[in-house]
Order: sequence, then structure tokens, then C-alpha cells
Amino acid sequence: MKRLAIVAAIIAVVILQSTICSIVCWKGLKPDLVTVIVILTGLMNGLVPGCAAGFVGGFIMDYFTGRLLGAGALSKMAVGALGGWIGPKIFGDHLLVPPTAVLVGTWVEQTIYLLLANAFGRGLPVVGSLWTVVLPVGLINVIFALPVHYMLLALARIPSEGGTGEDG
Amino acid sequence: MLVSIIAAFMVIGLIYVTAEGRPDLAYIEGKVRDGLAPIYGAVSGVTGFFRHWVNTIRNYSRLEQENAELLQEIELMKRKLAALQYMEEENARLREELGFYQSNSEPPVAAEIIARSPSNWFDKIIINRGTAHGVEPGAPVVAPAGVVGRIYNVTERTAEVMLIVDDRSAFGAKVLRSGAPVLIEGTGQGNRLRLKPLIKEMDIEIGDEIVTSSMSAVFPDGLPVGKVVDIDRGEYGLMLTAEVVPHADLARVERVYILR
Repeated sequence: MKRLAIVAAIIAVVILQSTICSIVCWKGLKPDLVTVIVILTGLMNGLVPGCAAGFVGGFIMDYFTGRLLGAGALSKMAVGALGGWIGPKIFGDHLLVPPTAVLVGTWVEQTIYLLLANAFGRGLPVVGSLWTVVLPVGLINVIFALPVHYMLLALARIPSEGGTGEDG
Repeated sequence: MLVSIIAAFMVIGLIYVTAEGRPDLAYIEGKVRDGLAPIYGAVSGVTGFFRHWVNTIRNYSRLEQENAELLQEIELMKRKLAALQYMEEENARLREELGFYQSNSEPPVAAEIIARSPSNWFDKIIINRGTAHGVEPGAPVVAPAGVVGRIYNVTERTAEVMLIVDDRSAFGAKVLRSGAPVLIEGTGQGNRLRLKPLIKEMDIEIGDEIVTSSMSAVFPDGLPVGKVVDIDRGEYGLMLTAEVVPHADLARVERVYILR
């Protein structure tokens, strides 16, 4: 049930990114809310859920983008795994943890995607894209870190099949 | 371990196969996109409504002044339109006399943009017109300000438009002032196009208007494309390229027309 809720949330944010966020964007850039969900899922639930959320979320995002199907899945899976690996080491109740994780995680994810896209012949300017896309998207994503964090905390209270809301 | 390796190879293969995009959608994919179209349309409609009213309130005093200026401009345009109508009639008569047929006889299809790419890396737009409205792959898409792109793939009720700034887009055009033929390529980065000359002696200046040419296999002749904002003549002036800003605001355009 909880897994379904996360997948539904990912599809909903992809539709939001395709519609509202595309109109209300900053310098042509929109937030990457799927990455925010993936990083925070990894941070809160661990390595395997982070990986799974990253792969599924990235694949859905790739499908709606229509190109390089799997590149986003790999980059988001990597950053979900990173969040899951680092979560038990640093995660506490401090309010700054989710925004900081989202900022660094988005930079890592977007850089991996950029390098993967170029590896498959897209020819995007690496240094230019770091300044014009990767860095600003990280900053935009930070704005959504706490709202998404609290949304995921609310989802965590949904009981899993045959268990309580506290298990993974 | 073996399963992970096989899965990794499958994903890499999938990325490779879909790197250039997918002009042909599977039947089920078309149905999914058609099914999502009302949701896209509803969300975009609500957003557009709020944005319209916020802009109206924010720009009220400016709009009042602009209105007065526009009324004057309308009068001027009416006179120009009358002159143009006369020229159009004359043109049609001369074409008939010379045995030419009139192109673009079918009226364009108006469409609203219901969704865009969710990604920051590759832009595209989805419109609410498809095969049911006579839209076909490859058809040119324009906005009042200038060319927007071409239809990339189409379902029964929606179509995906490849924008002219897309890194896969390239078409023939010309410099309006000198008539010099050029190639316009998408950069895939923001609202910029790359211009490459098609002749050795290139007459081009910053501020030159670029329009589509009859050499283009994509667009009809004479549609506005954009304005030259930067020229790089390269080492020894041998490798000229220029940067062109499209006239159509591709990030904000809400309504487009598909030419047939």
C-alpha cells in the first residue's frame, strides 16, 4: 500500500512537472520533484527502498521525457542508494538535514544524468550545463525539500501489507 | 549477481536504443497518452486561468496605457491590411496567369499546449490535437510570432512537437536582408539556435532577421524564425557560426497552429 502510494506520488509529481511547473518556472528551469522524493525516501527508509524508488521514479520520468529511457532510472537509483547508504550515518531530526541532502543529492543526480546523456551521444556542454542547469536545479529543489519530507512522513504512517505503518 | 549484470545490460541497451527519441509509439502508449490528455488539459487550464488573472492584476495600469496605444496601432494596421489584401488579390491573379497553384490551401489546425517535458534537459511540448483532427507526423507547427517546431509523433487526440531548439532539429532558412541560405540547428540548450552558412561568401550582421526558405523540407517559405544576436567568425574567419534567438517564446507559448 505504502509502495503504491509512493509510485502514485511520483506519477502525480511528474504530471505536475509537465504542467504547472513548466509554466511557473525560473529561467526556464523547473524543480525535479522526483529526485527530491527519491533522495528523501533513501534517507528515511534505507538503501534498498532508496534504490527501488530511484529506479521506478527515474524510469517514469524518462518515459514522460521520451528520450534516453533508463538514464534517469540509473542516475536516480544511484542517488537513492547514496541517500539510503548515508541516511543511517547522518539522519537525525535536525531541520537542515533534508534540504542539505536534497541540495547535494540533486547536484550528484543531475551530474550523473548529464554524463550519461553525453556518453550516449547527446553532446551537451558539460561545464556550461553545470552552471546553467545542475547548480540552479539543486537550489530550486531545496525549496521543496521540507514539504516533500513531511509528505513522505505522512505516507510512512500508511500501513504496509501485513504490517504497521512503521515498517518498510 | 548474474541477474544484476543482465539488468544493467538491458538498461544500457534501452538507453542506447531510445537516445534519439521514439517517433513511433506503441498502441498502448498512445492510449495512455490520450487517457492522460484530459488530466493534462485540466491542470494546465487551471494554471493558465490563475496565471492570467495574476498577470492582469499585476499589469493593470500598464495594460490601460497599452490598450490606448494598441487602438491607434489597429487603425494603422487596418490601412496596411487593406493594402495587403489588394496585393494578395493581385498576387493570386498573377499566380493564376503564370499557372502556379496556391500552397497551404487547407486551413491550419489550432492547438493548445497541454504539457511539456518534465525534464530540464530535453524540452518538448504535447498539444491537444491528434490524428482525429488531421494532424500528421512532420507537419510544421507555428505560433503568431514565428516557427515553433514540427510534429514528432501523434496519437488519436494528442501530438508531440519537436521544438526548433531541440538538438535533433535542423532546417533550411535564409537571411531576410541578403537572401543568403543558412542551416538552422537546435542547440538543445535554452532558447537559442545555431546558424551555419550554406555558401562561402556570407552576408550576415547582428540583428538580421532569419526566415524559413523554400529549400526547407520542413517549413513553407517566408515564416519568421528569429534574430541574429551573436556572430562567431572563427579562426581566420573561415568557420562562421551565429547565434539566433527564436521569435516565438518557446518557454511560454500556449497556443500553436499546425500547418497542413
